[in-house]
Amino acid sequence: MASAERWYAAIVSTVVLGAVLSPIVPAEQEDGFPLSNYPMFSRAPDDSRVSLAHVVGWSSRGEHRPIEPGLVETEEVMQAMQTIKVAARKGAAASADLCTKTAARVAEDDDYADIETLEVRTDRYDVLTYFSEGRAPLATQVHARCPVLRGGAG
Amino acid sequence: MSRIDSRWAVPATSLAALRILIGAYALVYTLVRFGHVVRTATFPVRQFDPVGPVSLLSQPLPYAVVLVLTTVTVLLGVAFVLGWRFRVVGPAFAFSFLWTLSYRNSWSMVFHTENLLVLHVLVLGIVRAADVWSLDARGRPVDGTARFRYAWPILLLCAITVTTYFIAGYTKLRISGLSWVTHDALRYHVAHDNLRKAELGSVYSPLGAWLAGHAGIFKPLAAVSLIVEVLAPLALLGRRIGRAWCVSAWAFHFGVFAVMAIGFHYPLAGVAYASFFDTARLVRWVARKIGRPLPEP
Repeated sequence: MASAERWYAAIVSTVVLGAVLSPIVPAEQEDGFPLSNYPMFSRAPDDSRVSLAHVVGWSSRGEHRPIEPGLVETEEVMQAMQTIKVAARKGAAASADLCTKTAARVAEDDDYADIETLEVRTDRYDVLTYFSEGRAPLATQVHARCPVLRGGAG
Repeated sequence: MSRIDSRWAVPATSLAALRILIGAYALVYTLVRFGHVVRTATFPVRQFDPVGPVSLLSQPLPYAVVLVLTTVTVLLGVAFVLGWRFRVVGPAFAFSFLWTLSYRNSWSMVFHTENLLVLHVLVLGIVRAADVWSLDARGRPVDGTARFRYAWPILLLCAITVTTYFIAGYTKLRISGLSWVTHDALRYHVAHDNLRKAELGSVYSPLGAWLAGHAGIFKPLAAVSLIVEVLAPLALLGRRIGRAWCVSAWAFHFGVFAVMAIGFHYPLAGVAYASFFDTARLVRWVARKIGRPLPEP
């Protein structure tokens, strides 16, 4: 192999591996794309209670269930979670905007024909008892509430 | 140096096979995600949080521009797999693929399932991965001589793979120390991830939800997964140990999929580990099966 090629191999390998390794330096940008320190799931939590922003639909009979990610702007569940979280953090106007847009999509989905009202809300749960002792939230904060308007309504 | 050349040497077909396999995976992935990438142009501006090269932008791109750039990425991907004008197309596809996936990740959510694929494509785009089994090499005899020039990019792909696992393990130790194993962190994360999927109206793992009630099993699982990550660099010590590590890393991802419904598609498909194996054999076999046998030395 020619000398120039050896240099190319050495430089490319050093630069690429250096870049891939760089996020382990705490002062540097840690999580990102495509370079990351992969921080997801790295924290050992000291509290089993978590807060979750989500969109919940209510039927006329007072039953409720979560609205699937595909109706909250994206089919990607984690992306949908971030969308709701950002809207909740931005305040009432952003939450109301998300609520109204989601309600318009819910109105056209037959699977949600019984849903009359949506809430953009943050619920608090205990992750270790949620599946074994019941799914009711420990606390709730409603950011926005809006009606699901169907053909002829409103 | 000549000793290194002979110790670490493979024929051009080994590197070309990785171009075809990983390039085809990246191309199919772009096509599968096409709609999602383009739909990001309709997301509210408040969600725009650029990462990677997209950080150069202060505002999201118009819908038409996103559509054109994503389409160009697909077309370049086809040329990349076919090995057409690779000196230009190789880097061009590598960068456009990086841009496209960075753009998709610039909406307040980084999908860590895509990092390794992008890094592999970036390397393949700037090396001699189309010297054989390509449109560029049409009509030329296939040189079967093993050379270092085709081996170092493969070693680099392997090194990148194990480094990403090492970093993930190192981060857990840096942030949580061994309490990540001893304080049931894995049980918490499995329960939390399934809870949020259930409350977001998505598919969650019933197995993970059930296991969350059984504290005892998570500490050994956490210890094993941390070992697979932190000791990943040992996979570079030899072919056998490398392949054994690939199997354990794949099993780790399968476990994550089973209990958290998180699909790290690139490793689960096995393509992330292709550089550790004789991929040329696989590509030859597929080519024969589809009736387009590849030229041999």
